[in-house]
Order: sequence, then structure tokens, then C-alpha cells
Amino acid sequence: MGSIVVWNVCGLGGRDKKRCVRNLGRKFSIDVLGLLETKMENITDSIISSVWGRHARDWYAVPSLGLSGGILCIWNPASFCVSRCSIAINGRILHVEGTFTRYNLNCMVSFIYAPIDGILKKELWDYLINFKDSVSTPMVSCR
Amino acid sequence: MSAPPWCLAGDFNETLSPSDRKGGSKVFASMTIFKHCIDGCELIDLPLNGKRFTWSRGNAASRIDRIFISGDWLQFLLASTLFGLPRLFSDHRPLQLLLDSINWGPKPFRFMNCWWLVADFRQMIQNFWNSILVSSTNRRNMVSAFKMLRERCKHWNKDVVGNMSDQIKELELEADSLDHLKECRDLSAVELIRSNSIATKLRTLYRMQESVWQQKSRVQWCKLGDMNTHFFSFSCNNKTEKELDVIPRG
Repeated sequence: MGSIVVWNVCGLGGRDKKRCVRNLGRKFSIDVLGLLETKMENITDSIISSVWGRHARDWYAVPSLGLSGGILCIWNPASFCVSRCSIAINGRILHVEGTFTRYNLNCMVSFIYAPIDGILKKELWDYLINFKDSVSTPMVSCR
Repeated sequence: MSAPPWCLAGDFNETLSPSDRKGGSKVFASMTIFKHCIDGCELIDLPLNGKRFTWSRGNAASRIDRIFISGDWLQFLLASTLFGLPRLFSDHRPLQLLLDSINWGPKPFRFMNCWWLVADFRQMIQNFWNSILVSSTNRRNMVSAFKMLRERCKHWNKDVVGNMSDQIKELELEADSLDHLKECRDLSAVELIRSNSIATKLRTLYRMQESVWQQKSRVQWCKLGDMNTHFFSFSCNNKTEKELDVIPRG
């Protein structure tokens, strides 16, 4: 039993919030966890411990810009083996490429935090369509 | 090289349809643009089980958080199901994409009406109550007695009733081979008795199987003896489909 969980936490600073995330992990078996709007510029290993407990984990964080944004992805390396993480659109997207060992399935999990502003949002949608095209273009062999 | 299965999860700060907003009725241009993006990415919007909205503040509520998956993702992980988790300490609720099929926990105990059709069931129950009377000193603890009876029934069902369709198949085969023999020669007295007992057993098993389907389909108005197993089976399956509406919208 595995799952992907995404949550806009609206700030991960408080102790209650951290405990809440930890309980989430205790209650539901999570392979990949994406936390949005962490509002944290520096994420340390001890912060990870406070939200994930002492279980096996790896993580990748997009720092917030001041008090806005920030994405934190934590995964269980036993069930999800990450090969690459990449950030796009000023840290609004975090692509995590990896393999679910249980199903031997290579896949891409992208976490996104969209802005409220309409023009910026449109930019993000355009990026997504381009991104989809760029990863799915078949290789053309030239003679 | 082709793209790997894709899962896009997050806070989109946008709705896809008017019903994604509490009391919403208008289609805004921004919604259409968002829809074009999702369609362009060939992503599937999974229905949110149990909840309507993912964000709320005061009385306002909307579904602005989503998890989309690509078609090939669903091919590999057919059981992918989206759930809205309880909202705590944030305006947004966590979303969970369950990858494996749901574990509904242990099967609840069901008394099968067809048990009465088996000759020794009544005797088993009687023996059980007698044993209870003997073992306790002055009064019976009914709750624990029923719990014990439940276990007794479970074991009895496993040992005596067993797998009905397998038994039916075996008996039908045996009856058929006896029938074959009868065409070539006269059956011995032992074989004749066996043939009769097979017929009786099969009759009981057919009735029992029909009763099981009837009970599972929760059809109350049909009388036993119609031999309409197919209909019961159909209404059973149909019920399951309606109750477990986890098929994603395309």
C-alpha cells in the first residue's frame, strides 16, 4: 500500500504544522510527499526529521523567496528511487523523476504551486504544454 | 524515447468548472485556458473521493488543488484513486493518490441463509448451545456466546460447505461419467446408490448457490426455486459498480 500525497501547508514553520505532517505519514503509508508553500528559505535535515520522523528518507527542497512559495519533496528511498530533481518557472514547479521499485515503474512526479496572478498563471500553463511536448517528442533518426 | 508516465500534483489556484467553486455558476475565461492546458498535456483529472472542495476559508470553498495523471500512468497503476484528507492547520486539505487497491479490512461476518439447507447445520447449532449451558455455572454470557458461535459458523462453513462451485463441478463430472457407463452396461447396486446420492447432493448445492447469490444481491422479492442465478449475479455486479464509483473521468 503506497501513495503520493501533496499538501499546500501554508507555512511549515510552526510546531503544530510539523506534527500534523508527521501524523499524516504515520497514518497513511506515503512513498512520495510534496509540501507546497513551505515559506522556508533554509531547510535542514533536522527539519526533515521533525516532519518525517526517523524513517528512511531522502528529500529535495525548493527554497521559498522570502515568505512566499517553497516546495519540499520527501520520499521513501526503499519504495521510490529518485534519479533526478529539477526546478522550473522560478521554483513554482519541482519535477521528480524516479522509479517505484514495487511496480518497477519509471515515472515523473511534478509538484506545482501556481500563482494567483492571471498573467503569471498563463505563463505556467504555456510552460506545462511545452514541457509535455519536449519530453514526449520521439527521437528522429536522420540519414 | 518516450515520456515516462506523469503525475502532476499541486495547488493550481484555478478551477476547471463552475461546480469546483461553492455556489459557482459562471465559466470564466481563465478556467477555459486552464482546461486547454490540461487537455494539451493529455492529463486525466481524477475524481476526488468523499470530498467536493480542497480549499476553504470562512464560507468560501473551492477545488483548486488537484492531482492529474497521464493515460499511461493509469495503465500501469490501474487502481490509482484520489482522496481528500481531513483539513488541519491550513486552508488546503492534503490530497492522497493511492497507488494500490484499497484494503477494506477484514471481511465482516455474514450469516448465510443457505446453511439451513445443509442437513447437520441445525444439529451443529444445537450442540453448540448445549455445550454452552453445560460449561457455565449459573448464567450465560450472551455476547461472548454469540462471538463463539460466529467463529463456530465460520469454521463449519469452511469445513462442511467449502467451495460450492468446485464441488458442483466435481459432482457434475462424476454424474456424467456414470451416465456414460449406463449407456454401455447396467450399473451395479453400489453405483446406482452413488448416482442417486449425487443427484440429491447436486440439488441441494444448486439451491444453496442460488440462495447465496440472492442474499448477496439483496433481492428480497424473488422466491427460491427460480434457478435464476445469472440474474442475481448480474444485479450483484451492477450494485458493486455503482457503489464503487472510482472510475476516472476521461
